[in-house]
Amino acid sequence: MSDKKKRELNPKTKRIIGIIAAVIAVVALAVCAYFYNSSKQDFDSYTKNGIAMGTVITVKTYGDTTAPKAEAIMSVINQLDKTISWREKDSAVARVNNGENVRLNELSQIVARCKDVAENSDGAFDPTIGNVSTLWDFGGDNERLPTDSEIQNALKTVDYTKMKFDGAVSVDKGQKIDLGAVGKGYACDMVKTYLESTDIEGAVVSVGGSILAYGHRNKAGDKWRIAVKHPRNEQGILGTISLDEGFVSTSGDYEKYFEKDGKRYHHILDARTGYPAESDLISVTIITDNGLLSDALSTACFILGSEKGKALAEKYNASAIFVNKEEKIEVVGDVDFEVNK
Amino acid sequence: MNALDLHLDTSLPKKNPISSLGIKLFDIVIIVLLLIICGIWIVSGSFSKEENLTAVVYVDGEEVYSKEINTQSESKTFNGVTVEFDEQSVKVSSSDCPNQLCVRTGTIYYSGEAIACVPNKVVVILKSEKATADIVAY
Repeated sequence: MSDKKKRELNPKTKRIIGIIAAVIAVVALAVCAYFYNSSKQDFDSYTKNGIAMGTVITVKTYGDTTAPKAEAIMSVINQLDKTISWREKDSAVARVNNGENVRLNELSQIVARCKDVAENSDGAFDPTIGNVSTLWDFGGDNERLPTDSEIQNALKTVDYTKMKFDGAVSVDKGQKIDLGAVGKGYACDMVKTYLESTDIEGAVVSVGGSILAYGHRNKAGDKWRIAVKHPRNEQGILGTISLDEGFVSTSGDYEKYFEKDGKRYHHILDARTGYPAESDLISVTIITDNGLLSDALSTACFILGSEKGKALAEKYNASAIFVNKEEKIEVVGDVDFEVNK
Repeated sequence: MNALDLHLDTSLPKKNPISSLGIKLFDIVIIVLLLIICGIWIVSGSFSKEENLTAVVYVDGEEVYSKEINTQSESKTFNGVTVEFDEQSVKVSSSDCPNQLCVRTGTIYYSGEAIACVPNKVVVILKSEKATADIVAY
């Protein structure tokens, strides 16, 4: 009994020990809170905006607050435009369209992948649509509604099976390639290749609305949040995609269009008819791990409509968000998409 | 008896583990308050705060003007492109460019949205320090 009494601490000592234990617990919690909040805090970032490929470019780099890398990304995009734009007089595509055999590995790869999507979309998407798109000239200085005979004549030259890309890229006489439907997405691919050679922690890049999400924004590895524009409500956002990494492309009838005699003519041309596509869809968003594919599929699915478009997206393991004319949203595949309420 | 001076009864046969440490009610109140403060700190770090939108105008890649758009409406012209800054939005009302794509882009409302006049090398972009999305796909 007397030993037990000896082992018992006096009340004052007990109280001090109790308070110290409680303070240690609170400090430990505070330290955890500090590290948790630090991991959720975005890396320092740098934003660069500009114009390239005839559209707005937005580059946000994380973990690098200096201008050179963002500038380098702009340079990558500008350089690509000089290769694939049919509007650039001396571009590789312009030379192909002028009948040259152009030996350029990069162009061969682009054309090969376009041909693959053209085949799988039964020609709804076709990179040899150049003569038709020149007639309409959406976004150009000569934008107009062509006559039906002009369209039918131009359509005779649209045939992806006649492209050659084994070693050198060439087309049939009179044919013209237009890579406008995939150029922005391919630019995102090029930017990703560049980013992989740097120590940048993360980046989001928009090339005229085609998006690359790369790396992470913070130590916690929070997902990127990519808003998708509502196709009918000018003030609205359709919803937000949460994405670890990848490419997002949207094709809609609301972006580039003109109206003539009360009818709207949008810029997504059906290569089978030569006219703006008329399917049950008004907006298609594709999420994949490849920028060129994202762009090509968003165009192809828009033209094909929801049923065939869904099958095409699934064929390429792509996720998709379709909006039909009744503004009903359909999500295809595995994508974290929250509809805006 | 003052509540803050209340000593927990240590003479009971079955001792309360806290009272056995000699901790007073006041000590417990302080510890609970600290825990609440820590909790608020954690939770507040998990939510982003919406901040005001700022419209930024670039001419040939250089930032030439910026304006918080919840302030007074105004109209300014940059390199032949007239931009209207409204209380919640921005639009290009006129431009001397041939294709008028910038005018036809319409009004922009969200952080990350942009209007470009390619011939005049003018870009208008909406920005927010803490936006609900990182970028807009369109």
